[in-house]
Amino acid sequence: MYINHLPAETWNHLKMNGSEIEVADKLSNAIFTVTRANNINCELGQIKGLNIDARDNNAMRIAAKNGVNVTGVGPDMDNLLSTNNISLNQYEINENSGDTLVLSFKLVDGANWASAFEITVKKGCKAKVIEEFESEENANAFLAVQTKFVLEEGASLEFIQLQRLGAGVTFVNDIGTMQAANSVVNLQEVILKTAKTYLGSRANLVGDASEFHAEVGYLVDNKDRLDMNFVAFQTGRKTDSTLNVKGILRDEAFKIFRGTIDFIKGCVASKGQELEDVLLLDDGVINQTIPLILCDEEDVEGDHGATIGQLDEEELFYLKSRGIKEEDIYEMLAKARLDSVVAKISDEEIKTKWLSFIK
Amino acid sequence: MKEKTYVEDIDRSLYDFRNEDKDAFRLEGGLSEEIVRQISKEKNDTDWMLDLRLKSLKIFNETPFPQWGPAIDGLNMDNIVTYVRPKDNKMTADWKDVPTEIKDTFEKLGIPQAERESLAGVGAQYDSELVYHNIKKEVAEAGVIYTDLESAIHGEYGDMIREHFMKLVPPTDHKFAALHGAVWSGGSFVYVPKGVKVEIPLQSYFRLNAPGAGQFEHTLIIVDEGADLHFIEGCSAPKYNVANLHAGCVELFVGKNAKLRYSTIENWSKNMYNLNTKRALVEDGGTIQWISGSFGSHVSYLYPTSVLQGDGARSEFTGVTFSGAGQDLDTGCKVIHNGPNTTSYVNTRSISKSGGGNTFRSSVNINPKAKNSKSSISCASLMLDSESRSDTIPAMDIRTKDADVGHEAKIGSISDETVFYLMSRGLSEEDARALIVSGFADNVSKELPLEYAIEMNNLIRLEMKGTIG
Amino acid sequence: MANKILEVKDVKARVEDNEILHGLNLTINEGETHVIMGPNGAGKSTLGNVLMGNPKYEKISGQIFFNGEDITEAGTDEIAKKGMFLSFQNPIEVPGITLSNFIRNAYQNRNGGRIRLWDFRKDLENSMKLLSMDPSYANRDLNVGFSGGEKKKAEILQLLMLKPNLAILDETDSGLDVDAVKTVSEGIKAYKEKVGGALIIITHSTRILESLDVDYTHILVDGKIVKSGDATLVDEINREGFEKYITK
Repeated sequence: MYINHLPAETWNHLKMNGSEIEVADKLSNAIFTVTRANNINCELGQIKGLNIDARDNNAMRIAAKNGVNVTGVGPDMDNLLSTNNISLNQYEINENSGDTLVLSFKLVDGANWASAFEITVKKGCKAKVIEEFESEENANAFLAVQTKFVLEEGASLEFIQLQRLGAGVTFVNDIGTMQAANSVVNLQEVILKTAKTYLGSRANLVGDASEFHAEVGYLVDNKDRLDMNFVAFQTGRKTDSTLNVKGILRDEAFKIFRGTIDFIKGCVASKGQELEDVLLLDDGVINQTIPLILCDEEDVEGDHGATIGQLDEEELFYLKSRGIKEEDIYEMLAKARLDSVVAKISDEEIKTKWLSFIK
Repeated sequence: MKEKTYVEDIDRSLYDFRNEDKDAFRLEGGLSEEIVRQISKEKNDTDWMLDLRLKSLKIFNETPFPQWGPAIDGLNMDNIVTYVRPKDNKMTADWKDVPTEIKDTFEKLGIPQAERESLAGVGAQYDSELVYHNIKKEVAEAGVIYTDLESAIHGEYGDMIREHFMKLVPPTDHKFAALHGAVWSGGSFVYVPKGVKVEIPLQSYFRLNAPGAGQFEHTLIIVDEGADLHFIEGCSAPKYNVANLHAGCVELFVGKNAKLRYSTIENWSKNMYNLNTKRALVEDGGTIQWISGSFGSHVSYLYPTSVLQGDGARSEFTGVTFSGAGQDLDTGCKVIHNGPNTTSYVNTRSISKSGGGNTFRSSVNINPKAKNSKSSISCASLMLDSESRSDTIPAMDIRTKDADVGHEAKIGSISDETVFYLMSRGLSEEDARALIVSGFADNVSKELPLEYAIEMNNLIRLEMKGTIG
Repeated sequence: MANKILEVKDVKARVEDNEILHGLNLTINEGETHVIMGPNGAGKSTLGNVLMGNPKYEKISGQIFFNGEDITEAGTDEIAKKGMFLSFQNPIEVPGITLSNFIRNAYQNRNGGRIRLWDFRKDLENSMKLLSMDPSYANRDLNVGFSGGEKKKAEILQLLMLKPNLAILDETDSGLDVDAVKTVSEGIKAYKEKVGGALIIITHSTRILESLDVDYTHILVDGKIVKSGDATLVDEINREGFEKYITK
């Protein structure tokens, strides 16, 4: 299937427009555990496929504008889940329910799994959703997970995803948010062991003054592959998006970061910001970055910044002057980057557990 | 409260006069082997050139149109006339011998005057053929060659040209490179020998007068070791109701420790499809500087490319694109770092107004052998209204850890506070906005020779006229 | 009888939905120096912006006369050309145009004719010297990267060069150190001596007033002038604050 399509295409020879991946013929419902879901009920539903060409950016925009919760990975994901009859797990977080939901996956060897979630946060409610993705050390497995959020007016969501997957795993991680006025999403994404990860996240900021903020920290090493597609689709007035991505590449890792701020005509007084900071530790790495700002509205402010490469000399000099070896400096800073993302996790239990995984 | 009115018609009369072309020799529209052979015959091509043309035609027919950029549906190759030779044309080095009508055209554009005042040499192309070429005596005496490409092929530099012609931009590169290879005509050849520093610029001016025609000039510049050159290219055309096509090709070879500055102020009329390919190959310690102002054309695909091949090679790209009503300009640049210690700087501004579309598109590749390379990219876009569009699509591909890449992009509009501040000092709103836009574009204007900077600011003023915010 | 240069009649104005001036009256004669004081949020800066015709501030009712001419509906540039000048509290940065080119441009816009480059340079040089501005600032982009103090000096430089007959100085002394206040005051004094124009000084503090002869002082509270007096009113405010003018 064709996924992670860039909302505006560029030269084909760069091979950055999107990714083609192979999927097993038959996927089954993934096994996962649900904890801390006090009073949050799950209803099973059916997934509808989407009749949209994965490369048709205009169709995606029209769908989102009409309230279809399209995602970062793209319509082929919906269709994959639908053809495999994967159940849709529907949760609702409201005034009477608990506000925290933890979903944990542990992949086993030979698994060909998929899961779909649709989580609604009712008007004015607060929610915290945590997803953990782990695997057996030597598992050869496939996992596709789609998490869609519907945020009603004034709702707010903390969404935390953490992953450490064995080298034999392929993981398609698909996120979509459909946001009403004054709703806020804070996404924290922690990737400690990448395997082959395709991460697509799309915020549909349709309501006025809706916000989406993401903080991403990753380490890609060995021959792992991280393929990302972040889209902030801003059509409401006074919407605000920020995307802050920090990462480390080592060995023969491959990473592509696609990040798009899509200002749609009428999104008056909206803002968007993307920041990427990549530390390259070895010569075998391939780092691709393509940050887009698309705009057909005058009254907006958008900016993007990227720093890619090694440490700046002054920083290096400063640390060396304190007696630290150059190699250690890089190790230390690599760790610090991940630490800084994990440290911001508000959930103590989860934070402690995952901090211990950072060597 | 904030009502905006637009006056669509801008006075472009300075560029928008046209001459009758009834007496010129034109080939039929469209593209076929017969037409290519006919052009080749007209040009008295060498055999290798005819082969290259035919091979290119084949590639053109086999290559699909690009899918990712602005629409080029309005361009029907069957209607484009690939070759128009001006009446009574004979390339001359004496201004007096240029046919009166053509002479008048270039007089109006200020070309001969500029030559007298500030240029080391001038070439002028009218439709498909060079009509004038001249170079200052002292520059010629230093061994600098500046002539039309076609006669040079038959002269003592024939082998050098064969060695370089369409080697940097092969016909296989893309569809319009193939088209260019098949039907190219006119253009300049410049050779600056080792160590020669040309103090004042050389200039070529391209004027496309014939309606429905294409201009396919080829510029080949070789700056040898330690030499230094500034080359200026200007383009314009009157407006017709049929599509015109410009698919030129520029190949620049910058030798060891040599320096070439290539400046362009492009003001094609707004029925022009400007699908131009420009590329520079830079050897050890050499520098290519691109200065690029894009104001005209209906659709542009323009991405000057720097291939930093040698150790310590360097490229600087400074560009501004101004897109108004009926324009969709897709501009930017590409840099390929192959050699170690290479450096690239990219600094661009784009301005969109009255429904114009602007795309900044770039790619920077740092390949595994380009150790200790640096790249810094900065692009800013200004939206003057909400009818317009501005997209920023920069790609980076880094394949060594010893790289230092910084990128920043910004988009925004003119703030009401700034306009009020300037108006409080007595500037009209129109002047205040024009001033802000000129200031925004000053990355380019301050790199241009004074008279071109003035021309550019006049163009901005012209474009800003009638935009009442 | 002195000639009225400015007459503000019962002006009400708002920003977005908030009415800030609730019927303000003020008369200023040629060459006079008026001080406007008032607590934060009273509408002091609004007054400057309204007089200068900032479109962000909507006039609801009332009239403004400048040199006897109704300028209530006039555009900002027209008002400037008629000889009014507003020194901004936060001068705006304008990249791409140098301070000297800008002043020349504004000067010619105001006075129609062209100024001889030589005369202009001389005048600019002298004025910059008076303000202890480094001459290199003339060739730097307007306000871009200037410190707070240099920005304020650049405003006074424009005042000296453009020679308006009414200048409104909006918190020109705020954020300046003692030396800078002194230099700026020198500049204002020079303006009074050379041009003889009227002044409206909007301020919190009195430091800037020390070397100037103040004719009138007005207390602005909640969008209205609640008290007018002579220079001694400044001292009273210094001692007692605005407390007693604030209606509860």
